Amino acid sequence: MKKCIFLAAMMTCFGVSAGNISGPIGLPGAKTLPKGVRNLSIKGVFAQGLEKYDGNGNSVSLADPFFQNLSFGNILSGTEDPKKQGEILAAMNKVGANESDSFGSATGQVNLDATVTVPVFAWGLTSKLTAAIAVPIIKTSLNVDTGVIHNNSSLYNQVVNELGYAPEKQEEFQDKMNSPVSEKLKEYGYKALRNEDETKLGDIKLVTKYKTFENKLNSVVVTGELTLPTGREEDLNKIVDLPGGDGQTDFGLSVNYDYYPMNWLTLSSQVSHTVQFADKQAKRVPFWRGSKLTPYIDENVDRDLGDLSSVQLAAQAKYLGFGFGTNYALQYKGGDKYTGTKFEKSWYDNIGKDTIQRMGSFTFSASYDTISLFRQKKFPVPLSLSVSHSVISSGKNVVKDPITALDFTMFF
Amino acid sequence: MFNRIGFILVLASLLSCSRSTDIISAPEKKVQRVSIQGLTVSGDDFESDIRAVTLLAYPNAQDLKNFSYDLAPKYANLLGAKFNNYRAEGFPESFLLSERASKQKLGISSALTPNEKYATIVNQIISIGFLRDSAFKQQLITEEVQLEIYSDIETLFEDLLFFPVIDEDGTYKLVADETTEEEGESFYDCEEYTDSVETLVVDNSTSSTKTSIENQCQSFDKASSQVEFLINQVYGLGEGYVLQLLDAVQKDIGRNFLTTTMAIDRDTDEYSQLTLSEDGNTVEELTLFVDINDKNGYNEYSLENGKIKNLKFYKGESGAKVLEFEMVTDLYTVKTKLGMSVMDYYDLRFVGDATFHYKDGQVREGVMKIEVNRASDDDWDF
Repeated sequence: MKKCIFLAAMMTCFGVSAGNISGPIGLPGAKTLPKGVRNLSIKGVFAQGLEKYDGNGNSVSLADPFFQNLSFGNILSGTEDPKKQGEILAAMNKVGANESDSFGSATGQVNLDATVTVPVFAWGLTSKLTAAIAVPIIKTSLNVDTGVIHNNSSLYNQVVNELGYAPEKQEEFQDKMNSPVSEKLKEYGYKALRNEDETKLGDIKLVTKYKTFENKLNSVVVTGELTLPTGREEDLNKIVDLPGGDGQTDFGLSVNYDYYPMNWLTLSSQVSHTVQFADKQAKRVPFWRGSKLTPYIDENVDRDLGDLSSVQLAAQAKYLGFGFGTNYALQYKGGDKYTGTKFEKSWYDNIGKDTIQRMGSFTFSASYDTISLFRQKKFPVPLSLSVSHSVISSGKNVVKDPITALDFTMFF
Repeated sequence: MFNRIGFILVLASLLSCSRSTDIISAPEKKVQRVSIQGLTVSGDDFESDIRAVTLLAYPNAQDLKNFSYDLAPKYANLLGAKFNNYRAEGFPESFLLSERASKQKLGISSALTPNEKYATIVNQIISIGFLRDSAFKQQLITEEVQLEIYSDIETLFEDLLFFPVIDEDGTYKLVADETTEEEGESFYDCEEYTDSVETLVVDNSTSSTKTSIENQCQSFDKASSQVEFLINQVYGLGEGYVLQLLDAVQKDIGRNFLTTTMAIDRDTDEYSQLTLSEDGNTVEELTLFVDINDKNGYNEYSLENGKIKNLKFYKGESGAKVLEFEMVTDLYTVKTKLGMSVMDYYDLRFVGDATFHYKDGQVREGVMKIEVNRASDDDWDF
């Protein structure tokens, strides 16, 4: 069964982690804070995980990796011990079964609700330079269940019968057939699947924005982002895990360009690239391409996560503090590369399987700010409130479910 | 300032509200689990003498790295051996194992990876074990059928007299007349009959008798041939293949892999024994006389001499009885966990995994089997 790394994609909202791509929150913009002005904003991101785009761009259930045909062929491929493989082959000889003969299929169901709260403190150091820090707090609620559907009772009973000479093996076979995922997890030293509610720190982000150019009609800002590995890394012994971060440092650079054809209309574009630096990490190393379940652990896997690139185009209209905007984003992440020396080379390639990601998304936002009223001394506090909703229109190896975000900012 | 911060904190708490996701269930549909019935047997139900002990360690991938084994022609069709099923109408011919098994080749190819060789050897050894079990069972069934046929033949011959034709050696008639001797001869079975009778002259009234005799004798011969085939061509050949295969590996790397023994010379006291208590809950005696191929011949391994130790006999999680013990030899200490079963034809057996801890620190996985005959035909209770 594949580890649900794609679930971590849900957490890659602002300042959470740069490991994977997800729907954007808010609209891009080429703005910095005036000198001496600070703001404290709270971003809240709400997401539910039910479906994803698989490696072929098809929409599948989040639990799709749990659905595994319990054919003799798959059982053999998913068995790493040659002695056990020999026992399975002998059992096939005894009952006259071929590799395509199947007992049924393993099933699963995964539901995920996630809320990410990101306090961001930004400070206009100069009229052109703004620095910010974002500290994401992630709350997740995960429900997971696995099951099995037997659709070949005669083969099942035949095998049980033929194992009559060894009652312990009869029992072992039935245990494995009745709870294939749970038994495999136990055999390989994973923790048992269980529902979990968790609150954790994500990867802290340090941001600097520098306005390189500005006039009445245009503005260009270059942004540098440093993502620190402060989030909880994945637990090797959990097959479904929602880590707070990927445990490595990233550096991103983006260029934002705003065009103001009218004083109420802003057309924005952004090009960005994030480099995920290579590092070493302990990983479970799958011996079979068909499943990420494995008993093998290498404490020193060389990891090079794929870099992230994106292009966004947005338009926003603002009048009397009210704003409405829309954005289209195209994002791409390169495949992750893993190498090591403890096991066969091809096994390490299995870790990086299905890690190339692509996403096309539309974001719609609405906002209101009291800045102009504050300037006119008609409102005591300069603040803004916005809500955005991102819809994933196409993708590959990314969560499909929409993301809703609230952003509250106060200036002082 | 503080009001602003307070306002932010309130909003932060609202924004950080989350909900627990819905409890879910994955789709499920299971075959009804077969409960493993724990057997209640009495020590009186079985002999104490052990019919056979098999102790076998599998060579692992490292052992087989440079190993290959060419198949001798006599083993070529071993896994595809067939038999006539005497318990089915028309005695159809069936595979002792399966059609799938019949297509598999024995031997170990050098083209395989070490892990593939390991899996192949385990597959072949276990498959041949199944084949031999099947052959053993069919041998016993065929012998039962032989007995039935023999009984019919006895009945048939009981009422028959064969009258030798005068001056024609080997020629007989079923009814005395002017061409035959006055006194007829009796035959007890087909062998006597075929030894004496070259030609049986019959007429309309006796031709059906001749047909019956020929049919019965043919059936008996066919059954005999099958028994011989199962014993020599399957059971014996299967054992031969495994012995030669493991012998070849042993010569390649110098490590003992197989011990197997039948109950030996009953004229001495040296025969393997397993004695259950009357209530069947305790193993009162376990003595194994086996030759572990260490060039010291047969040696005794028993609770008494301490070479069998840490013996436990208990009801396992499955409900079946489990026999665990350690056996200490000069080459290795083997730790076993054997499940007990009682099945038609196989009687009492203890079969399970064994781990071999060699004196040089190496460890190999393997299997062990202890087989005991039933003492009587009484039924046992479940």
